[in-house]
Amino acid sequence: MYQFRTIMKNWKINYLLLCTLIIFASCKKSFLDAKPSSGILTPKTLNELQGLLENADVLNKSTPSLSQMASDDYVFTSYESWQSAYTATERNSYIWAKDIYEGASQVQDWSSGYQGIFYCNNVLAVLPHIVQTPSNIQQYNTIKGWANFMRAFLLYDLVRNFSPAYDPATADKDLGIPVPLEARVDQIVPRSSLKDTYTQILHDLRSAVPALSVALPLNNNRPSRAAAYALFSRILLSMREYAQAELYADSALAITKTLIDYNGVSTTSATPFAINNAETIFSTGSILNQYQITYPASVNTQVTMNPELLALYDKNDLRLSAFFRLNTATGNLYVRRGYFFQTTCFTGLATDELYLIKSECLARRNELTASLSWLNDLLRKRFSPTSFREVSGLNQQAALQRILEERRKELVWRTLRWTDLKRLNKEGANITLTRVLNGVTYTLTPNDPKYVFPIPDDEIALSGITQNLR
Amino acid sequence: MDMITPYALRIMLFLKIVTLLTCGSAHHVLAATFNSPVGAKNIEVRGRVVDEAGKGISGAVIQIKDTQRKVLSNAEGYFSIAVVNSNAVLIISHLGYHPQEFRADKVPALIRMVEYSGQLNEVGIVSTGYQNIPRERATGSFVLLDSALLNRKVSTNILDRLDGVTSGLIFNRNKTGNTPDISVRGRSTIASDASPLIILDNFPYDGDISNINPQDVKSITVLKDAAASSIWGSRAGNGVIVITTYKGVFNQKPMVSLNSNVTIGGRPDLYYKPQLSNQAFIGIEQFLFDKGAYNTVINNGYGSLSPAVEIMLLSRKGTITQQRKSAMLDSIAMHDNRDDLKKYYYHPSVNQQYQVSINGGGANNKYYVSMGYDQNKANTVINSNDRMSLNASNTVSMLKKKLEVVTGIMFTSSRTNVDGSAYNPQFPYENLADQNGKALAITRTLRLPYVDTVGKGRLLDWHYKPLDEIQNPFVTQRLKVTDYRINAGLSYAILKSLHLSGTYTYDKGLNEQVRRNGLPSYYTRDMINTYSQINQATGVVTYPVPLGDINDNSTSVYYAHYGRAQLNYDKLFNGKHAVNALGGMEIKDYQSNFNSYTLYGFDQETFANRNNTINPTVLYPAFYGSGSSRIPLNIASASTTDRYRSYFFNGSYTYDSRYILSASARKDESNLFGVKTNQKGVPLWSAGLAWNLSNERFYHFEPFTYLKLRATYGYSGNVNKSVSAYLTAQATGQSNLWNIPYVTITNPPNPSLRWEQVRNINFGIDFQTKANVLSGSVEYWIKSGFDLIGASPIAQQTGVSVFTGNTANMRGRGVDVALNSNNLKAGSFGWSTQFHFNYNTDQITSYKVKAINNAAIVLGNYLQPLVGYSYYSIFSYPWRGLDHSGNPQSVLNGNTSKDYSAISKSTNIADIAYSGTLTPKYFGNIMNNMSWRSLELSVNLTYKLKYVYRRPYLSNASLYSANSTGGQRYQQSDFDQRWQNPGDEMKTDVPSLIYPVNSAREEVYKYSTALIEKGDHVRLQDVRLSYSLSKRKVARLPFDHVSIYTYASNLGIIWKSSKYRIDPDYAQGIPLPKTIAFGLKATF
Repeated sequence: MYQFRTIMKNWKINYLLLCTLIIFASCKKSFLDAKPSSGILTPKTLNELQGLLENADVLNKSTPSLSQMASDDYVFTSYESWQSAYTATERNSYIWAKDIYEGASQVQDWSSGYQGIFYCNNVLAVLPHIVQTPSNIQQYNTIKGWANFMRAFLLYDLVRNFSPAYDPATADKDLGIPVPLEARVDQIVPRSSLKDTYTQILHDLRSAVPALSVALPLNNNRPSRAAAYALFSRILLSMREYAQAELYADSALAITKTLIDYNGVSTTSATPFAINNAETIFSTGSILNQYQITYPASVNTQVTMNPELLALYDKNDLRLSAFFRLNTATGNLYVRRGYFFQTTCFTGLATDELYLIKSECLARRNELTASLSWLNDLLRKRFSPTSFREVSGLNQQAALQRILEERRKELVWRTLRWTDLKRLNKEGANITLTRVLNGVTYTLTPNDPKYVFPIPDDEIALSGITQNLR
Repeated sequence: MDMITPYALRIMLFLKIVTLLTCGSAHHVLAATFNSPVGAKNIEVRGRVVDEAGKGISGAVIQIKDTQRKVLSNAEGYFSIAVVNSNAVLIISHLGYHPQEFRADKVPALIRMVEYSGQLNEVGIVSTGYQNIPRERATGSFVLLDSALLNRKVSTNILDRLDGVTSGLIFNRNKTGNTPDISVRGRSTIASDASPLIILDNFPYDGDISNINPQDVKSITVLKDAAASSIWGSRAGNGVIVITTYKGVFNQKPMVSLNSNVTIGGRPDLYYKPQLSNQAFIGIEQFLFDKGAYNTVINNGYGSLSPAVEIMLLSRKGTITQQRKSAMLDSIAMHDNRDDLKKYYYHPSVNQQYQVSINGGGANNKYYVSMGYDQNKANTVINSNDRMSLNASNTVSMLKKKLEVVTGIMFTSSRTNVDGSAYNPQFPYENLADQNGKALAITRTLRLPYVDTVGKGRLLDWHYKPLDEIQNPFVTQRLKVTDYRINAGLSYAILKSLHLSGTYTYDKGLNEQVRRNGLPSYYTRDMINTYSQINQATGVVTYPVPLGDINDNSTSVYYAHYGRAQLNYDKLFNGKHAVNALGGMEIKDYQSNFNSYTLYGFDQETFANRNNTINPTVLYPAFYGSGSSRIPLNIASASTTDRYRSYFFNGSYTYDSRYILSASARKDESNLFGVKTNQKGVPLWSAGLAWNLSNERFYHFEPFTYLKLRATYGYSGNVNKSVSAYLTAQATGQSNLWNIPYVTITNPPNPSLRWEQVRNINFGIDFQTKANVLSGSVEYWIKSGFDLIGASPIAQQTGVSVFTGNTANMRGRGVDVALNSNNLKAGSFGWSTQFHFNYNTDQITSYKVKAINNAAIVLGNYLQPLVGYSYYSIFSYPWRGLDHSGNPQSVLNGNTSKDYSAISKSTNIADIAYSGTLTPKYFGNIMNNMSWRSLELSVNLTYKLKYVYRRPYLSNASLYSANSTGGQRYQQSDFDQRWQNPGDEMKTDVPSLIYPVNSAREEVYKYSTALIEKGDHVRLQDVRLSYSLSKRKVARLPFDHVSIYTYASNLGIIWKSSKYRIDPDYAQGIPLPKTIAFGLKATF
């Protein structure tokens, strides 16, 4: 009782302490729901998913540079220049060596594309959980189409580097690439057949077309229906499905056929083409930071444009000054900024490529007048009105050769030459590449397995997928 | 004076607060006393044992001298004991207090026990941050560092004082991977934070540890095993360091203590790192020049070329003759850049420390007030820092001592000046000044001839003159840190044995960083010029970056609330059953905000800026080259929130001071992201057992007067908030090329994520010999980590290159031995030794992700740990010497090989060799303290044994990286030992230099066994000499006690196993210069 009285006597203090306890105990559940960091989110809304797709650093700078570095667009100025190349990969790509990476890890030519595909897979995994309403349906579709289109674009960029050219006769036996379609990192996918890889790419594109808007987007890092048609056309051309390639080119050109008149292109500006220029339908570039050769910049004076290629340009061709700049100290020609607004190769989709596809496909089915008409429409914008000469009076073979030559000149430094070489050699063009260094001649014969780049060693070691034989 | 005035104001304010806090000491009548009857046989002696505050001490031992008869005081301190003879002597003792002896008939009614003032070699009270436990009652593993040991060292940072004197704790200098600065008992995590948890008084301290003035620290307890640390739950897996500050003393007249010292340190040893002679380096440049390696830069016209290459270029162009060229090269080779560094950049460091404190108390209150000021001038000309700290604590007891109120304030303000120009030489002959000491322009990112003529005078001067930047404050970088910690605590005795307490602490820290890049600075001129555009036709210059200073500002603020409600129950039943229990809950709410921005065209006078003239979305082409970039406004803001809600219980039961059982349990819940509420928490527990063998009646082993056995088992954890179970993305605030903001995936979904757990097992023996000649403890521990989060490379086809998740288990074992020996006490001479020996190993017991190949294992085992080996293992390519052309050779599938690419890609584990661990397996110290009259000398030797490091090597790649502008690539080892001619392979292991560089070849050498060195060494850590005088001895002394001391540290290695002139703790850097301190401490 004594103790009880003491407690009662000091009831005020007890009460105070009790209150303290109650305050402690009454912390709400939400106390632990606070976000640990302001910047983080679990993407759940359409805006957040779009935020992932707007990540152009991941999605729009992923094209492998290997095909550019192995191509005949350029040459090293000397043996010494080649020796002092920035990375071993650049040296080895140039001479089509058996081992390209020399143990380099984290090869972005491979990893960047898959990183982008992972983004697309995550977007596609979250989308079904979002309820479609009349007010969000347009954005919903745009995002769905965007993710499907982007996955197709990235898969195709990978397959044209790491697999042989598409050949219907062998496609079900040729090795394609791993095609991860789920948003999980604990699953290793083996290489699918080349046929299955292309089937998936075309399937993705087919899903994208109806979801994407016909109107051209405000910013050309976002795809539109024209972009999907253009990509269809590019892929089908590389598969030598010329009739279909032409159909899709038509569809794209029906939406946009604007060309830039090179008479108005600055010859002094470091950035001759605007970021949202009229010709670009969809904007991407090759990987940034890993190599110097692909920088169309003066940082790399070890290389110059291939004299054989330069010889193909007419001296009045406005593309000479729009695409290249002379380094007065060395006499080397280096590449200026192209349609991509950063210092790497433009690898996206543009109307000029569609004109060339259309022209080539017409020529292949011997519609020569129409074919050359498309070619002349393009070339008219590449010469001054006074120096422009119409291409005419060629037979099928000469016309095709001229169109392919124009294709090479127009699409220079876009990583497409390598894909064209693979395709054209399949057509029997019999193009052999040679390099000479320090008295040693290196050659790359048509359909050589070295046209297919090795998969980086760390991928092989960690996933156990099959390596390409070179 | 300007600087001091604000401080003076703050001090006055502070003293006012202190006065308010220090309530008048109300006297209360002490409890009734009992007297002992005198004379007769078989008397009963009764009394009460109290502490300095008059509070009863329970569990004090009252023993009749030279017998085994003893009793314990009860909860209020009362005792009674039957004594046969009134001449018998009673010894009253309690751990943590000085023992007292009385004749049975002279026992006072109130025995006032005096707390240990914290002398070396004495066991005391350990603190867990929740309670103070007498050593005798503890089952867990604690290390106590008292003020005497902490004050032995002179340092600005309190944690530095643990180095080399703490059992089981090591400072990691040889860092790699995710290595913390301090480790307690090895390692038990992979990718999570491996640093110990730091507690300041009652709660975790989230501020900068350097804000704590070491002079305010009374003691530090390091909690090592589960029983000790599991009360801290999920953050205790790496051990806990509990810092306790002074709180004053009851019933003590005000005591003023003054402490002042100055520490002087030398310049860093610029000759420690080997480097190429100037001639040799120019030779390398000539070789590269002849190979055309500089042509890219020469051709672009603006890139940086060294003075030597400029001369070579003049010669190649025919501007100068061969003879002139040689003369010019010889002339630049005459200059050694290190002379400039010594003359202009480095000077001796001077650190000054002042502190004054007052402490004392009445019957019902105690207080401690201190003020400290530190001023440190670093050994580079600009870096300096000062710190002002104020600390006050007041404890009042009321209501017949039922209620105790503790209030405290800690305030720190520090300012740091950092060398903003950050001069780093690029060439060994780089010359900063002409003969008259006038600053010379050097090349940095741009070529000098380019800078001389660029813009034809229309741009700002683009020359870089480091000496100007060093000598003038063009760039100032100031960091201002203000930190407050306010705490309040109430403790109320509901019943005599039941106390309810509430504790609250508020922490706030403000960190302001301002970097002013004045217009004259190279940084600002370079920035403005780079963005400038000259209209070729009109010659008009436009400046997208406005003319004026550039101010980079960043501010971070954190604040934290900690609250705790706790019930303590302490009761002794029947004099034999002691129960001590506590339980309660606590919360932590920590938030931090970060903001940064840059102001262009800043005017120091008016504080006006011209940011509104900047268009941050435009990509401006650079003035040179073909790059283009936006003008960075560096506007960023971010916040983090860290919340915990925890429930805890800790109890112990002691039977007859012989058997002790302890148990603890804790549940932590945190605001983990993307986790369901029921997965936000983790329950952890521990149990322990101790046996005070020497208290047993049957114990008669004379040599050891004290012997205790103890064992504990339990779980603690680690927190890793960087991973989440769901897909997590981050809005970076950045925009893509089309000026649209985007988000980045930071964490792939991982539904199987779990909390990390660490299981601790500890066995210990504590002992003390007769007359305390030798005392100490031996402990054996096993620490096992489960579900540890690791970051391992995974196949890139998954879209990520690193997978972070629960991938590993690991186990550590070790032995901690701590011995204190009073070797000699002869008259006025005394000699004692403190000896620590620690053995620790760790081993990965399972790892879910397999290593890619041998290169991945050799290049960094901490990224891809191997089962069966330590996290800190070093693996190497076996060295098979050089071939006849100076090429390194290793092993491929058992055969000597030069296929470097295949060697690195090999997955044949037999092709690599285990070289040892990066952290020592054995470490400890031997400290000898000698005293003679008022003179004391203390010498500490530390040792680290059985570990290895890779010594610096001749890097072909670095030496031949012609266009590299950063780094000191002329600082290379073994240049003269390299293979040059056939036959050299018999004498040397240093490969020849080849061009172009083969990086795989270099890696095989760099990571070979040829470069593995044993780190074993013994170091003379520090020496302290002090002389003290006290008023008791010298009556004329104006102080009660005064001591002067000198303290020398970083004295160097006295033995090492390796023959190389390398300090194993600083294999890559430069060792800390020797320092010597002089100081004075007085109390009155």
